[in-house]
Amino acid sequence: MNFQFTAEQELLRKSMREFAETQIAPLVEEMERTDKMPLDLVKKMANQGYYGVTIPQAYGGSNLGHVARLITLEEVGRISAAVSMSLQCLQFGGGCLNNSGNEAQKQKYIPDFIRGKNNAAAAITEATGGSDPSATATEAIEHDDYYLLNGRKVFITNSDIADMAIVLAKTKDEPKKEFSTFIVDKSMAGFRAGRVENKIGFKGCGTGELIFDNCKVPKENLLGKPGQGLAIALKGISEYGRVGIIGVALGIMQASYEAALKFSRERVIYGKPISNLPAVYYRIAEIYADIEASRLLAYRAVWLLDQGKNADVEIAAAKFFVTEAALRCTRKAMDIHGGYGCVKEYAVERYCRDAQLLIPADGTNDIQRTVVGRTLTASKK
Amino acid sequence: MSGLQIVVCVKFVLDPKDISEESIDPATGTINRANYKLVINPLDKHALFAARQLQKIAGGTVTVVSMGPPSIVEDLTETLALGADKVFLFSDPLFAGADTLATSYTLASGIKKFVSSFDLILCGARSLDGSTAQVGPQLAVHLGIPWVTNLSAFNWQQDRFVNLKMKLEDGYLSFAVKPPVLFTVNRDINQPSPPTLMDIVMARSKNVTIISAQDINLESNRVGLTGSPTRFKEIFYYPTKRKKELLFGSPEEMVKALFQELRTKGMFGQ
Repeated sequence: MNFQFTAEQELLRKSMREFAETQIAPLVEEMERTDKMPLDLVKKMANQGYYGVTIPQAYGGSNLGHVARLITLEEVGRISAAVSMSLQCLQFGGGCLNNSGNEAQKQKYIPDFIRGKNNAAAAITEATGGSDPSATATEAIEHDDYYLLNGRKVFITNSDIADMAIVLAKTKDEPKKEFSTFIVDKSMAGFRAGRVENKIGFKGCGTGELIFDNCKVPKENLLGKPGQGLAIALKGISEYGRVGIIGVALGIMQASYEAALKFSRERVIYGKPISNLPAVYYRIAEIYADIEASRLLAYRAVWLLDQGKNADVEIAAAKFFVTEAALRCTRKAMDIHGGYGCVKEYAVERYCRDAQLLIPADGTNDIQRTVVGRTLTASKK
Repeated sequence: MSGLQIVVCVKFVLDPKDISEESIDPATGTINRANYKLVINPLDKHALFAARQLQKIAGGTVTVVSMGPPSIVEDLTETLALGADKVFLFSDPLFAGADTLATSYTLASGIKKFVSSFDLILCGARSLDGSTAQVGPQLAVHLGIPWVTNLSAFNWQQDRFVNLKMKLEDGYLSFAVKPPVLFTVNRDINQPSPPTLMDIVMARSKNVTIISAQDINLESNRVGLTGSPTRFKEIFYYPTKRKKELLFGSPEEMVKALFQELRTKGMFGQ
């Protein structure tokens, strides 16, 4: 067993931390106020190569792998959960293209995506609920050389900055439902962004509707084969979406821990810093234990991906454990801050609002328990 | 050889974020460096970034030289990701305890041996820990080349460095100089950015070469503690305390009183 990151991964973490502290931290306050993603930042992240962390060098990526991706998200999430969320969903879109695209599709879309000229969104969830993709109502009707898409996706991260989307749509209803995925880009008439949700957290990371209104999608933009849509979407959700959420959660936890530790050492009550009080250091110990357990679950799961193994169960288990741990940690950090935890001058209230959004994202935590529980009971794993 | 041959001196220092009063052992007055993370001396990072920018314009090679224990090899990988083509680490138990004189002598001897032809040597103006600002100029003297310290800007034009902006307390000196030359740079020179992911990948194909005392032609009495006339007397934590003073009256009166107080403390000069 080796619990050490490689020297290259340590260097990656260091450089990500430097980028997040110098380039993202100064923007957080404005993002909280305006709820807008600074487009300059999106470009800077592209220039740094953050979109292509799991994409082969042939398409302009660095191919550093899934452990590296989790490091990027954790470090960005430590400073801004909103930016980390946006980044992870961009990587999700690019990841689906890389996993399932043919050579022509990869050549056409991925290099520009990595350069930040082609922001990719993953468009799966509909008003019927993200937990049941088989209820997808968006339809793609086959014509001679194109599909005609009609439907509305909701809760799509980066809907406001997306130049293209990987869209799950129903391609057959009878005798058996069949779903396919499509690459839809802004050059295609009938594709547009709809309303953006006013969320409690992730301020600055747009989440909203993508609308397909008689949108003609050329047949060469079918991703994978007809009928592979659910498999492509679920693989993307697991390996990119859920892992991405875990990365954001780890960042929030680390930030909460640092904030709690700092405040407890500086806040003096009864003539001593409150870090001397058992009620405070017990909470800090619990936050620490949650972070350690979360990292072990999370990094082992993505390490499995880097070994080319299926990790759906490990990722689902990590998703519900880590996100709930993040919520626990932020609450404890707020408790340690007392009244100050409830004012916006201190970041812990932001951490708590952001952590709550992790619970339903990319499959509610009840869905994660279902994935794990059903697999374990069915296979006697 | 085409382009400029640029050498950048890099020192690793304790990460200031980790250092506090508790870091100093009260019994010995020393800091156990093994317990702390090391970072590139911040001004040396500016120097390396300047080298990389210059290389983009003028071509050539960027070579990093550093002195320290073999354990910093992994830390030096960062300099490879930040644009160094080659890295030499001068490392030997004989070098331990070196002051600025012994350090500059060792670096100069190593550069003479391993980077025979160079156009520019870049150093941070000072290190975060020692803060003597001596190594750069001493190195230039050992190498027999001119030097310009505390640069905020410079450009390369055909065969010389132009628009040198040397920061003084009350202004700048501006001039041009032909290579070979040594510059020390301050933080105004550029804004270094962290390595990109591709920079990190590219660093895989480059190596850090460790050079021992035996590999360099050195006079052994001029290196390490033996070659260092400087002796540390004491390291101590200098406590700073916030002073609280309440001002009363109308806003105008309070502002007036505040400025009076600041003036008395010498905040606006004499």
